[in-house]
This record gives sequence, structure tokens and C-alpha cells, in this order.
Amino acid sequence: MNIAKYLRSILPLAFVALAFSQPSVAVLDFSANGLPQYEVETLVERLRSELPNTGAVRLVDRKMLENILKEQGLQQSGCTTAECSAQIGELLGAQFMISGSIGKLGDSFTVDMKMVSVTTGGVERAKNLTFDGTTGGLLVEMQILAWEIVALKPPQPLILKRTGAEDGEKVTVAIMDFDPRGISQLEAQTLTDRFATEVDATGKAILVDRRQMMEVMEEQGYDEAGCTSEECAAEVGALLGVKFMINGAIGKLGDTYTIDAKMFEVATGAAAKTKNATYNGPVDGLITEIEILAWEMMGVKPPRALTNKRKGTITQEAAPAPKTPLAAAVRSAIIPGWGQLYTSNALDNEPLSRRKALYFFAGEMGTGAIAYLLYSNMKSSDEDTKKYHQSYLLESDPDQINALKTKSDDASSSAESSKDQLTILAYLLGAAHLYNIVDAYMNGPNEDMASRNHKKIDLVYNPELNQPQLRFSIALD
Amino acid sequence: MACELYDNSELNPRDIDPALSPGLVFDPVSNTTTVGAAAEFDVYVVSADNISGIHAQITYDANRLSVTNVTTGDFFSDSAQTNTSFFVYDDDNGVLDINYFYLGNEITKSGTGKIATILFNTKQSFDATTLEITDGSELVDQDDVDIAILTRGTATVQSN
Repeated sequence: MNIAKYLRSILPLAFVALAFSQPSVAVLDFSANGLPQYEVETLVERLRSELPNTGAVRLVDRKMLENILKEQGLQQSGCTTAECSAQIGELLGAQFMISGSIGKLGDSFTVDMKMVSVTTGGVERAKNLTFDGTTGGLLVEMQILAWEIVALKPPQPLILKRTGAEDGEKVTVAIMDFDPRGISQLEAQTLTDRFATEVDATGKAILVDRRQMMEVMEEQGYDEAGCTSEECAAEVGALLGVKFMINGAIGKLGDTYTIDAKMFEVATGAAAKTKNATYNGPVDGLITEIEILAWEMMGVKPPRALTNKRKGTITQEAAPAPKTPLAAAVRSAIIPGWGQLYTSNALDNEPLSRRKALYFFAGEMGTGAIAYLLYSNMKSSDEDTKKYHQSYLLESDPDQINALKTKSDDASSSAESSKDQLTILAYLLGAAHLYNIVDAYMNGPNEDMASRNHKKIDLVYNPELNQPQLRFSIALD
Repeated sequence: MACELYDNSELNPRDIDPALSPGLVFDPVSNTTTVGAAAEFDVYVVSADNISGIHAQITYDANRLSVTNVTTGDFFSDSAQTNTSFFVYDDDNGVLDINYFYLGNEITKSGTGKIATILFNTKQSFDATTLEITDGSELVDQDDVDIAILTRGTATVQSN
């Protein structure tokens, strides 16, 4: 306990010490060439805000910079030389100064920046960029330059942002090696690579490089061979900052090959597309099928050149129809509890739905059995009523008349009683069945269920903040 | 619930409250027939106690019905003693007299049994017409003493 208390007291100091071990950097305003000054200021501001994210440097506050310069009667503008930068840096107590210029030539933007050591006055590092794109895209470039100027590799999400992945037409995708079943690991990798090449060729996806993916997985302690589940793939996807992951399996049974591929959204885990196919033919024809599958997976018609290369026969299984609440309701209408079981299966054997399926089925079947018993009793008593009454009508002996009348009346009462109970039970059964159908519909499988079925704590990629986040989910039902 | 149960409300005409015995009744109590067709009725004595003779007087609507035939029942026929019966009917006034009795003395019968079967013919179509056993009917013991008849039945004929 004392040790814990001791650690808690020194931890903040340790963080402060760590912060101060980072070199301090000040960023001067860049000069503008062919661009409005306010645009340049905005771009430099983006550079300033990204530098602390690198964790490599400590940024000198801009206000402090301005105050000191004001005191000294110095101006940022015009300070383009290394010597000038170093001079200002000395006044600020910074170890490095970053300065530069941003210009526009025709449709191209140019960015020139250098980091000067205040101590030596020499240029520590310089970065130049020519960018053809919008001013918005240049903002991303300034963020990337923030990492590069401090000699760090920019994070994957930024790289992906740079490639226009947010324009809505392309999606970021990473592909896990397809699981081999009856073929070798090498063959599976080869086929996966071919698949990835074709996905890239569709122009519909920004693909994460396999090597990069391996590096990230290795850094985070993931074993590629062991990461075959969707959960693991989703975690990797979150780390990579992609929107979709594709994984699957390629199997061989005799001369038949099976291909199963699934593309799912990293953030929710919901399956975006599933493709299953069975191929009979020569092995090289399988490669063609994998390539065609890549186009189909991205929702693009494969080029004719590719389809003309087809060999063998392919049986493409229709993607399983998405499970819907209406389908669950219809099933429950036919057999009580079937809809709930259908929902449970859609959500990987979700226990609550499975329990409800059992309760509904057992409850309605039990009630039905009781109803049948009552009906049997009613029919039997009714037959007795008729039998005794007909005998009564023909009888002449007073004693027999009384006895038969009594028997007939007793049987009639029993029949009436059973009928009344059966009526009540029929209404109850009807209500229970209706409730079963409504429950199946209201709690049927949908996208929300898919996310609700996720772990209560999991890792997801937040595109707004541009970083992976821990997500806590609490079910309110 | 849609399933209909058997209706056992129809009464046996011979099912008379013991406090209202003996009685003379028709069986059946209702008969439906077509114009020109026959309607058959049995006449019963119910819960008789030591009787030797029966006179049942039946009235009917002579405009609608006529008596076709009357046959003797079997109430007095189980004894070695001879029995006899005769019937008188007036189709103009709609009255039928049934006389059924033991010949000889000191023979009596108790219980319930049929005394006659009457066959009517319907003359026209009508909703309903009633047959009645009048208070002119009699039950007598071996000494020809009247025994009160506490129940006198009625019957209905419908003709389509």
C-alpha cells in the first residue's frame, strides 16, 4: 500500500520530467508566395497542432512566441535565414526552430520548411513538398510534414487520409491472408496476394500494404497465423485505421475448390458483403476466379478480359440473405420460438434469444397439450350426454328415467365446463402466440443487434479523431 | 367457441314429477309432417297405481286432422287376464275416445305403459295444431272407482 502511494505521488513528476526531456521547438510563421496570408497561417497552425502528437518534441506556445518577439521589437516576417531563426530561438529558450514558406504555382502548392538547431545555428532537417490538389488536401500534407520534420514515420491513418480515402468513393481496406484448408499456406498467401492486387485494380479501395499490415500486427503482438477470427481481424483493422477488413478461406476437397470471402465493417463488425463459391477445374483457373471474386467483392463488374479467361465451372452460392426481423416474425408465426432461435443464430448463439425460444416453444406446446386434453374430455362427455339422453327418451320405467336423466345432465355439465375452459385457453394461447410473433419482430436481427452483440469493451477506429479508441457499450435492455 | 354441444333439453313425456302422477301423455309431444301425410302418436299412462281400466278422451282440430287408425297398446297385455279395447272417434267434432280395460274383476296393473297408437292424417298445411287429453279422461280401479289423473299431456302437429 505505501509503495502504491509512493508511486502515485512520483508518477506525475515522472511525466513532467519526461516532457521536459523532449526538445523544445518553436514554429515561426511561414511566408506566403502566391497565397493569401490567412491561408498560410491556417496551414502553419495545422503543423503546430500536429507536432505535439508526434511525441517527439515540445512545442513552444504561440502566444509566448509573439509576446517575446513583441518585447524584443522583432518580427517573424522576413526571418527566413537559419541565423535569424536561431537568434529568435535563443530568446525563446527553444532548442529548435521551424520556419518556411508556402507558395502556389499554377495548380500546384509548394511547401518548404526547415528545422534549425538553435545551439548550432545549422539546419537540422529540411522538407520540401509539391502538392497537386485542394487546399484541404494540403492540410493533411502539413500534418504529415509535422511527423517527417521530426524524423518520424507518419501514422497509417494520416497516410490513408492523404490518398483521398475520405472522398466517399474509395474505401480503406485491409486483407488478411485467406485461411488455407487443404492447400498450403504459401498457396493461400499467393492467392490472397492476387486477390489484393485485383482489389486495388478495381479503383474502389485504398488498400493497406501487406508489409505495413504485418509490421503493425507484429508491433502489437498479433500472430498472423493465429488471427483468423473476425474479432481479431476487426482489432487489426482498428489499429490500421481502415474502414473494412476482408478475410476468408480457400479450401480443397478432391478436385473441388471452395472460396469463402467476407468483407466486414471494422467499426461495427457488421458484414458488408459475403461471397462463397465452389470451383471445379484446373488450378490456374482458380486464380482467375479469385481475381473475379475481388471485383465482385468491391461491387464492380469484372472486366471481360478476366471473365473470358475463366476455366472450369464455378458455382457461386448466393450470399446468404440478410437476417431480418420480419423473417424472424414469420418463423415465429409458423412455430413458436423459431423466430427467437433464428435471431439467436444470427447473433452467434446469443443466449437470451435462445432461452426465449425455449420458453415460447415449451409454453405454447404445453398449453396446446392441455387444450387438447380439454377438447378430448369435452367430446367424450358430449357423446355420453347424447347416449344417456337418447336412452332416457325411450325409457318408460320411472327409476330408469331418473337415473338416465341424471347421467345425461352430469355428462352435459362436464362437457360445458370443458368447453368453457377450452375457450379461455384458446384465447390465452392466441395471445401468447401473438406476443411470440411481436417479440420475434421487435427483437429480430438487425445492424443495431450486431453492434449490441459486440463485446462491452472493444477497440474501434474513430475517423473523427483519427485514432483508435476504446469503446464501452452498455445494453439498456 | 364454435363447436356445438349436444342439447339434452328434450324431455321424455313419461318423465313426470311423482307428485303429479298418474298421468296420461302423448309420445312424441311434437310431430311435423306434410299435407296428406300421417302423424303418429302413442298415448301412455304414466305411474298408474292399481288400475283396471282407462278411458282417454282426446280432442283435435277436425278441420286440420282426421283419425286414420287407432291400435291398442300393451299396458294391459302382460296378464293372463283378457283385456279389451274399443275406440270411438268423431271426425266432425274432433273427439277420440279410447277405452282400454281388463275384463273381469280383481285384476289391476300399476306402472307406465302404452295404451294406444293413433294415426292422424293432415288435411291441409298449417303452422301448428294441438292434441289434448281432456278432463273427461278416466282411470278406474277394480271397483270402477275413479283415480284422479294429475297430468294430462298435450301434443303439437305441424304440417308443411
